[in-house]
Amino acid sequence: MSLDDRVAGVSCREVLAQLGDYQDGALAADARATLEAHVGACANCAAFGGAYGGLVARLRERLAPRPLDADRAARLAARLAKGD
Amino acid sequence: MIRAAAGDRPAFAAIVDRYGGQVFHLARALVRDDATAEDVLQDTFLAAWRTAASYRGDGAVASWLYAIARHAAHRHGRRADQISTDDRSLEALGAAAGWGQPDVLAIVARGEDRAQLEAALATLPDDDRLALWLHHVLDQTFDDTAKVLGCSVAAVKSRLHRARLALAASLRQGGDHVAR
Ligand SMILES: [Zn+2]
Repeated sequence: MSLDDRVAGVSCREVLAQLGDYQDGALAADARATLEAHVGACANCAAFGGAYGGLVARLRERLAPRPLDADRAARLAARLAKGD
Repeated sequence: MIRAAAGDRPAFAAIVDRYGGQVFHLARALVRDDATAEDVLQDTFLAAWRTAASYRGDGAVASWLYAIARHAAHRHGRRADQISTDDRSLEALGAAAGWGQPDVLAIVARGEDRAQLEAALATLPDDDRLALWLHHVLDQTFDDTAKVLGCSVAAVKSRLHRARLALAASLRQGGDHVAR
């Protein structure tokens, strides 16, 4: 098991380098197909890609901003009214 | 919208109402405690009120506010210095994030817990954490994230990849030390 392993014509190292663009939907169609063929046949990259994508989803879900609480909003309004 | 709000207190109050929570949470990600984040929140909207009349950008209100908040947070001091992820190879970041390890999916389970996620984020360099917040939490486009960070879109994409790997690595390493 090494990042130099080649599966479906690309190394795990290359897949790791492109994983961000893949996650962001920024890979061209042919590069995406090549990456997906590798991941479909490489257990390490499949597991890692799943964890990577899962972590991004947790960021969105778990850190969603909440509205200001009433006290903080009132202090902000007071400072803005005062103007300094 | 911003120019419409210049000098118009009810219109500006609507902006404060809509974006106050986002600005506070972004500030909280950039400074060390709630009290400082509240100072940044107030400074941000005060500066926004004063500069709304001269605002000539074509961007969205949100990214305009976030850029002001970033500068305000810097004036209140940075978190402790961190090692830039730029100095680490992708291979090293991938290995630290658990590539090839049987328990790699544990980072997703740890990320379910907001406190563990925030603790892991706190270990990242400021710009890595800011990029993750802007793009993934505050839904800023690559373009708007790049404007707030003052860098290119390509640099944002590269930073996001490194920051996600570093976050995964931090979750793996720090998970046992976070109070539950
Ligand atoms: Zn692989």
